[in-house]
Amino acid sequence: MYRNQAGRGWISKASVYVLASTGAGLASGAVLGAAGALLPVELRVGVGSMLAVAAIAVGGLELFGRHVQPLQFDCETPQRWVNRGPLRWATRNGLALGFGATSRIGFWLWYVVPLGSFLVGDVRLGAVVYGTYGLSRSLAAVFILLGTLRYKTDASDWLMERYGQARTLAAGQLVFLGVATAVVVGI
Amino acid sequence: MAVGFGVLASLVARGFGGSGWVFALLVLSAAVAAIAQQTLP
Repeated sequence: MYRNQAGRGWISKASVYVLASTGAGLASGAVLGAAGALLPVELRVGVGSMLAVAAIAVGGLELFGRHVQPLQFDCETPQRWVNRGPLRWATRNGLALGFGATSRIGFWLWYVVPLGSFLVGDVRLGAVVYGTYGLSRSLAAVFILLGTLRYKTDASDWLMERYGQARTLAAGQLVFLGVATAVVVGI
Repeated sequence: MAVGFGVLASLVARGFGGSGWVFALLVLSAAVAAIAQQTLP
């Protein structure tokens, strides 16, 4: 978002970006939740139990310093979108990042979003999980932009230097979720 | 650290119980994943 701030009206661009990202998350989660509802709850609990074990294993490896590269399209959103005008760019970028699967994922914790939305097996709950992702992703970018404007420094460099800490945080959250799920389902 | 996270999660999950707790963790995970991704190049 902070790469395309030429001109006025950044508030409208940021608003469109947040709305598009949140909307993409809500829609994705609703579709996944509806699809999950087609499966019997016993099957979803079984799959969730296996994924909980996988989450503990992958998160544990990350915490022990062994980086396991997540499956992903290792690319950014297309640069040519910038040429389509600021509002179209904000809309497309928001939709792409709120969905998340077609750009760089970076963290195994991301997979919790679509898989969790699917396994809850409910349209509204799935939308809440994925919508939270879309909203958080876009709002974080807006706050980074505000920080950049306020402190007249590029916050993206500061953030990239904290990638290692973010990996630890994400891996810890993955282990935490995995263990909590395992305990609740009674593994 | 992994063991610490696991023990803490186990204690909290036993304390609260129920799927609502796991759902809350799912929502938190979604927010954490989104914020962590801001550190990607």
